[in-house]
Amino acid sequence: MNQKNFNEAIGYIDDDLVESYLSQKETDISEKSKQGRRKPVKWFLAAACICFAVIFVIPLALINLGGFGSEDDGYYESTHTQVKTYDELSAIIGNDTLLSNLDFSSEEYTFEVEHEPNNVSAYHSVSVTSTAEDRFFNVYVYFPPYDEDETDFCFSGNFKVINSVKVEVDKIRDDGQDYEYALQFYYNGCKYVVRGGGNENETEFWNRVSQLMGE
Amino acid sequence: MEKYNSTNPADISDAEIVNLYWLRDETAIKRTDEKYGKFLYAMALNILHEHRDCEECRNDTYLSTWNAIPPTKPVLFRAFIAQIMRRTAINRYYKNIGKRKIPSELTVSMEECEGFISEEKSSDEEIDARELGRLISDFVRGLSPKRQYIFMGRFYFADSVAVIAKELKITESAVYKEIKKLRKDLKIFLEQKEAYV
Repeated sequence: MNQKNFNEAIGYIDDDLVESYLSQKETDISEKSKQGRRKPVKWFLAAACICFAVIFVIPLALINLGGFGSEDDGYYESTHTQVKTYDELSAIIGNDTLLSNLDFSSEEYTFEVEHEPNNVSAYHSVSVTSTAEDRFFNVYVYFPPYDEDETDFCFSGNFKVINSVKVEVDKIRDDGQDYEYALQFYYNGCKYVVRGGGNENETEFWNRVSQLMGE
Repeated sequence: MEKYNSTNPADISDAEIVNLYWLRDETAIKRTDEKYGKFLYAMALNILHEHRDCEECRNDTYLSTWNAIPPTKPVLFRAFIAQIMRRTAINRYYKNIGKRKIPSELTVSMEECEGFISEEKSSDEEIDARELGRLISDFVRGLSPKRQYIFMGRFYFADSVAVIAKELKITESAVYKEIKKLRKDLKIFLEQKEAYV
């Protein structure tokens, strides 16, 4: 089947399906505008709730419970650990990943390990991120076993070979000013997802990808 | 004298517009333009990405609608003109694509279908588009409302992933995932119906 054939066939989709889609779209838009009109009421109620909490609930909670926090906050904290340097990260995950190719001295990075509750040595993935004013660069490394669907970020079907590794490349955004890429590939049993973007020349992004891949 | 002097174009019903066409009243085109002009333009823009082409396709759509009614008397007028506009814009797209690559959402959505459909002209066996359209309709009918919305938005109207994500209040990544699954499911469906070439 070729593109033209497929497009022509799509054009023959039954009218009731087209109308149903358009009606739903219209309903959603009108719902949104209604929600917009309800906003002042929402804000008023929210403000009233905050005042009530500040005056009565929070002081009581602090007096009676001796602190605050929730189980959810605790769960995230127990499964995510941030470290400050690559050396600290490599002490946990070792030096076998491609992250060891990156020059972490050139820019400030944040490092986070996702792991089993309260057990950082039972790690599932790590993320390394650098964010500047005009660009960002983010590498995820998923260690086996990982859920293939949960870790999919590329759907282009376009591949590029970088340093003998087949990399799926998805250009998510390119509006003339900003660009954003999602890349994914497998290396040494791990799945790597690279996200990067900015409003400057793309060369910066590809240089860093090459560095990561050890080119 | 004009039969409808309403200031709000939405006040006129689709049945009334169809009736104007049926009576060969030329104000039918004006009413269509007032009520659906922007909608048709936006639809063409997703496909063609070029102001002048969109304007011309919109005018061609009005002419085709004028020629089609009568004898056709569409019950779902909006879907009817959307179908004409889509076909007109797609024809223009393929006429233009010989000259250059068109940076439109249609190009992107077709790139997402790589591996499922090819860019080349089909070989010996060309599937009848109308028949294939009927099968695709059956496939779409079997989808959940959310997946129907994504399929129609992306492949029929060539809406951007960002727009679909915003409308469904989900992430762009979730929309990409659904598109990937839809592509796979459609391929399996058409293979089962022995319509995939």
